[in-house]
Amino acid sequence: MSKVSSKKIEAKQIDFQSSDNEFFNIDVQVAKCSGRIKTFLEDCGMRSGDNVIVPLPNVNSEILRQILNWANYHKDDPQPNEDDRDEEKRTDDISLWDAEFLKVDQGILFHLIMAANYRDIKGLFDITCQTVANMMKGKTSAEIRETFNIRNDFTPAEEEPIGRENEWCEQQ
Amino acid sequence: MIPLYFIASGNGKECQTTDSEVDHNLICGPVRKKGKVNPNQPAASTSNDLVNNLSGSAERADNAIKIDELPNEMLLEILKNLSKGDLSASSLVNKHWRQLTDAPELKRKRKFIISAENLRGVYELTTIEDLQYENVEIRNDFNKCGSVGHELLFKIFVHLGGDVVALKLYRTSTLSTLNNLLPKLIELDLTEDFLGDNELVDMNKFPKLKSLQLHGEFDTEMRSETLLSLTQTPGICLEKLSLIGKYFFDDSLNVLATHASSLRWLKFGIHPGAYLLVHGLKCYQDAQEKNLMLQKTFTAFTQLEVLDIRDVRNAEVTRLILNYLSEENPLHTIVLGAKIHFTLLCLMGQKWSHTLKCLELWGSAVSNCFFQQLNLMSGKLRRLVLNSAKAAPRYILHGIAPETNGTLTELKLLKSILTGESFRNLVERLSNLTALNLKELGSPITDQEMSYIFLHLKHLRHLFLKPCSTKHDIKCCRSISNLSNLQRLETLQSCFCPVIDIQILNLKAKFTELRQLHLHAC
Repeated sequence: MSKVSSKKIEAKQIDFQSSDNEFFNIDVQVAKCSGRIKTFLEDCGMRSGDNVIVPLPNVNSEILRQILNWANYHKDDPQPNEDDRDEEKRTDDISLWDAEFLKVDQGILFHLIMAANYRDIKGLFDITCQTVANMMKGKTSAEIRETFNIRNDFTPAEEEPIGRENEWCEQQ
Repeated sequence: MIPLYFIASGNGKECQTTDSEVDHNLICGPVRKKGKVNPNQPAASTSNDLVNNLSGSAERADNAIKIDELPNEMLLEILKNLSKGDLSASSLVNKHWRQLTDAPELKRKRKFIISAENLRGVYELTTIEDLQYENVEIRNDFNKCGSVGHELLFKIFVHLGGDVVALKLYRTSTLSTLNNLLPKLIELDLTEDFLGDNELVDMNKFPKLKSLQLHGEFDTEMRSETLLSLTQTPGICLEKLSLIGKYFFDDSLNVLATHASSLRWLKFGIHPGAYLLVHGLKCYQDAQEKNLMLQKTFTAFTQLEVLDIRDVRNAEVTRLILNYLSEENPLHTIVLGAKIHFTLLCLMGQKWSHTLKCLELWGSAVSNCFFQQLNLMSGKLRRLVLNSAKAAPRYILHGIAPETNGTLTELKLLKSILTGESFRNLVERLSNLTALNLKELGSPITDQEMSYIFLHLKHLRHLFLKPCSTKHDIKCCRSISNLSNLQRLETLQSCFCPVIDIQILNLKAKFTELRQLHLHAC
């Protein structure tokens, strides 16, 4: 269509602008961990030397810094093979670096999940979801409520039939 | 050079739109060109500098979100990581979560079990409540209930059947009762027993069937009507098939051949009688025919990802199968039960070196050549089961981890003899192991070996130890600091000794993730 999009030579660096207007200058390679940004950049096809600024109105600088930190560490990871999709999901192993990286407040963790989902950052989305799930494992419903500060809106009468039905479910 | 400036919305005052960028309005909003960078904007930065004099920064501290504010689709992604038990706890958190855990993609995990005991109760429940389960098992003891039981079951499935995608049961007759009530059935796990109400099940009633596990528990060779019907159902393309039992050899292979082009997962066993035929001990001509059948069947596969033939205990049949299977199959898991000749390992290495990730060799392997070949393959393997009864420790070491092997995460050693220094070398080089199974190790595990496990395997989540062969194998695990390295442990199977020692030492090591503990008395 346009002259610009036919160019294959790409800019080496681009700028992200967070919702609170902080700018992050990063390698295109790192930016491409986001499926959406990757598609976007490929569709645009910038020339090297172009000064590209991508505003991210849903992501504040604190979250964006975390995401870029993660993306920078994982930029050389092999891309997941399309054929691996159906392979049994192996989620029990979060690497040490990732585990350390995700030792953050719940609020930040949930922001990371939202951003990773919206920007299509598969690897980050999987480990953040897994981390939240790990916070529930082996806990009773009361403990889960306590962990995430959730209010119980069941009346005792409502809880009863659920318990009855579950008797016939396998426990593990 | 004119910089491109992609901006989220509005703010057109400082931007001139040019016609060439309109097409790029894909993700980040209108694409605009900007003559020069606004001097009021801070410089692009990757530093940790939080000082930012723009108004947006003030909002940052207050926008913490809670888990309940996540969109449902993301909460579901989180819940998908949980086991059935954790899901039932989650369903009791509040009304919102109760709804979430009822989502079809999660419900599948929860298995609904119908047995002789609860049959009537379940029936009564279906009359007052709308039960919806996708995964149902009808326990073996149900068969005691007789015709009244079948009647109740039929009534239950009038309510339940429409949702069921996975069903496990123990009699063909039970299935024929439910024939017309399971339109969505995808996975069927069926054990046929010898008392053989071997009735014809019309597989055409299950047009969506993708997975079948058919296990015949009988003492003599049997003809299964279920098997026969599987060759006469053009609408069904099985992707997963587990076929074990004394079914007629020809019938079994016919089913395999019928579904060869769609099968991605195959577990297959043949009864010992069939080996005689293949070996030609019974009749040469017959054997030729069987071999041709094997060839015709296994060359037809193209999609196979998992091949589990541990129940084919015959080395020659195993060789023929692997020989006939095309390298086109993206096999990532191969499980063999027969004794493994090293040429077989070479064959697998040549054909599937790019895809193979899990290798389970339950049959013994002793030759030096075997370990030479394993050495060439082990760097790519994620899971390995190895039976190396008489091999010298240095060969085992050379085969699995000639140097640091960070790829292997699951290892099971059968009958191998590894002690002291060679054991240390092995665990030291396999520092990424998450599962280690030494239940059937040939040599005893003593304090020394345990201390190596504690020291080097920091990622270990599942540890299986064998019962102590003598009371004094493991007296105590002396190093307190080393023990605490295993804090991510989720499963520990062991005899009492090390556990008692942990108590004796009054360790402060907390195994917060420990979920399964199996203890033997020794």
